[in-house]
Amino acid sequence: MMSSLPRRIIKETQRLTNEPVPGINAVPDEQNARYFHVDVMGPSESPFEGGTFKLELFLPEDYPMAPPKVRFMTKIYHPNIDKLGRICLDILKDKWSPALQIRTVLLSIQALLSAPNPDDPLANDVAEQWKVNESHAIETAKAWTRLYAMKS
Amino acid sequence: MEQQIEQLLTCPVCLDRYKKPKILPCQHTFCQEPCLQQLADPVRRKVKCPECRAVHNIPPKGISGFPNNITILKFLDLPADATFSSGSETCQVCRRITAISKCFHCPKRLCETCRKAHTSQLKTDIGHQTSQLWRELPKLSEAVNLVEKTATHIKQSGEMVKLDIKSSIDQNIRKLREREQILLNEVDLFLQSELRLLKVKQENLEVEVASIASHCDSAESRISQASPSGVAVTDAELLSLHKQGKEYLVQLQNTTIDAAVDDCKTIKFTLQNSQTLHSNIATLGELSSSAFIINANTVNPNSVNSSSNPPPRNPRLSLSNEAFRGLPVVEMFRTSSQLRTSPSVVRQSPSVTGSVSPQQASPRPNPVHPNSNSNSNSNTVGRVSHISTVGRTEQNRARPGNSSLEFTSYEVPLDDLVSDFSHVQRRSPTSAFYRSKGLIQTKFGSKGSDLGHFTWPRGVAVSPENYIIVADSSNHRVQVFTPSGQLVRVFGSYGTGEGEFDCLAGVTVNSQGWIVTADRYNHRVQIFDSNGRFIRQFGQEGSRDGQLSYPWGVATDRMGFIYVCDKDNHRVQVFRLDGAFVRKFGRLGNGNGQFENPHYIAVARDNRVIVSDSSNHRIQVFDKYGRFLLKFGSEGSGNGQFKYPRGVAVDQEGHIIVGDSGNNRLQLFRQDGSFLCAFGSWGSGDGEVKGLEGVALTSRGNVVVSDRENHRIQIF
Repeated sequence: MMSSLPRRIIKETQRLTNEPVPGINAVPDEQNARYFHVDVMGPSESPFEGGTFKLELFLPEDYPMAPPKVRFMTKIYHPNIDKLGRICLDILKDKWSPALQIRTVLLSIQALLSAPNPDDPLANDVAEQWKVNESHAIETAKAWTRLYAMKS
Repeated sequence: MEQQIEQLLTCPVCLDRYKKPKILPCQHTFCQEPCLQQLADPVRRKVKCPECRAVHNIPPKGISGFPNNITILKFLDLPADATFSSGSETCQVCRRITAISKCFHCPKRLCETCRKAHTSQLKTDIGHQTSQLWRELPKLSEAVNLVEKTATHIKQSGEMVKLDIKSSIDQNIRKLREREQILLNEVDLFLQSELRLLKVKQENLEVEVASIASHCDSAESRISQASPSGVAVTDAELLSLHKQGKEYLVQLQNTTIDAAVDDCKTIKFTLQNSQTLHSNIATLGELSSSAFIINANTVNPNSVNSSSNPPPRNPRLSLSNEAFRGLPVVEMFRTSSQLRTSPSVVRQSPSVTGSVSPQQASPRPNPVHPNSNSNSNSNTVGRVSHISTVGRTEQNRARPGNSSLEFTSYEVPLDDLVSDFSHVQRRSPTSAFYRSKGLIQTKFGSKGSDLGHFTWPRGVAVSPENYIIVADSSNHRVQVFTPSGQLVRVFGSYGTGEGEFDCLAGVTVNSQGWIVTADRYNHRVQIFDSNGRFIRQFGQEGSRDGQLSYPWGVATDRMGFIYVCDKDNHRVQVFRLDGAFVRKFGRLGNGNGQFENPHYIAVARDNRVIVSDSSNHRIQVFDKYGRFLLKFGSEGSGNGQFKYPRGVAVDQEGHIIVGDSGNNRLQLFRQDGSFLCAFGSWGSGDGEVKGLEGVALTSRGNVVVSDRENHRIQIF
């Protein structure tokens, strides 16, 4: 074990296992306790409904003082998520606080799926589409969800 | 309820029970250390509340200047057993108050569930470890295999080396015995002639004795005859008797006993330079060990150097001469051959056939260094030289050596001593061109496995663009060079797959520029295009038609047929370009059309097939259907003799060049097998070779030679 895992991480992991967040499944990696495999269900009433999106979450050395690093592994059509899966979310950057936890981060991400914010975009062309032709964008998002986020 | 209270007593940063809770002006509470401490910005002396993000100034005292949250402290101070009974501790992981047991491998005190999780974690770890170990284990078994293989190989190669040593020492012993025999024969000859002389002398003397005795008798009887009967002795008779007697007297007085054997010679044997000879013998041959690369399969019968060591200097036989009677003294120089043959050997004058004749009193000045000899045999080169007259005044003592004698000598080979010295060489235009060979034009390469280096280069071939293609055998690759030695391309690596080799031996180029290689230890032929791209392969180990056993040399004819020296099957097989078997000829033996370890092969323009029949020390020539045409060569070191001939090549006119590997030289022959010339010698200098392998010809008539033990290519 590397310089023994901070209590907080152990506690959070415990809690995630014992009291999972609904619609979210976070499992620590077998070989690296700071690395989590996350599954987020597409929130209902959103174009991502029905899909299961894989994310990876990593707790850096100075967590909780530094925010966790989160990335989408499943392709998703969303104005705040680029083609590499990077997420534009304030609490993952400047608005991070040690009072936040893994569960809160993941919940926020789920909320972001429900409410895309094309005015603060990461993926420009997608945001463009969302603003210009929202319904078409939503259709595309649904299509992508079907294609990538649903196991056939 | 308990849990909710517990939650209120938990710091949101470390998620643990508060330790020294400090309350911020925004009323949020955090542990002083490390939580609040880490949140403090010492530069600007501000701290941002994690909960509400309010920014506060840090008091002058620092973080500890913030007030304590007394309420929480009071809650924390409540005795644990009071609020939460059962008197047991909290599990160190889940902080629940349940039955605690100690983990058996670390000092944690955990509740039942946590301990189970902890143990199962351990189990998972062990599972991972085991699977990893299983994955890595084959490496060890492979290593074991490798070690075993190496052991067998080393044993094998050791055995081979021993055989080499034995055979080479045997050779030398044989030579010594031959020498002994020759010397003994000479002594006999000498004795014969001396004894004859002596006998003649003896007879003469006896006759003289008899005649003088009879004269005395008659003289006495004559003078004693006085009166009685008989004829009166006349005065004249008396006078003649007197005269006769006087003559005899003078003669007798003048002869001394010793003079009778004045001009007799004795023979003496000295072994010159016995010290060096002995030390040579003591240090004969060398064994060199190098890193054994198992996959290289470098078991090579010629890897021990002793076979290519120069033979020991033969002893000199010197005759000490007491007197010189006008007969040429046989001053024999048995020089060790091969050692100092200069590359420009071929420029010798044609040797003269002749016999020793006593009349030649004037020595023809032809200063020849006694050590240089052309077309030397390893056995003997005999020279008869005239010794300038050593007069009668010479002492009878034996001459210790002959180096003090000065002489001008000319070579007159003695038939009974020298085998084949006396061909009169006819001249022809190309012969003159070949005769001038012996000096190298280029050489390149040295030992190594980098680009441009070789490890035991074997076959060589010349492409239609005059590139030189080398089978870099123990690097398991083919290298292509320009005629000046610049590397053009390399391909191949060790292995059994396509484009991989295992000690490839022969290489040749067909009219399209395709490169055909004999992949020796893989018992197959592989064909590549001129860029080195794999085209096809055929052949597998075995002795049936189409199967190969250590194929060595390859050659192609203009029709595209591929001829392969199937060495260990002692035959030649012919294939089509697509790999289909066409025919085979030859089997083990030493008769016509039979082979023993055929090494290299070449096909002439007229489709005659020339094979170096190595262990039979000869070259055989066949027509394209495999019918025997002619053969030439026998074991030995004279002109037209071979010792384990290897590379062969043939030029446009049909001249055959043979890499005479055991004699470390190249020999050239005409189409009919008659000897033309030879050049090359043992060594590592220019024009010297150690372990001749493949031979090839460029379009301009340069001879490309693979100099195996020097790990280089030389072009003459």
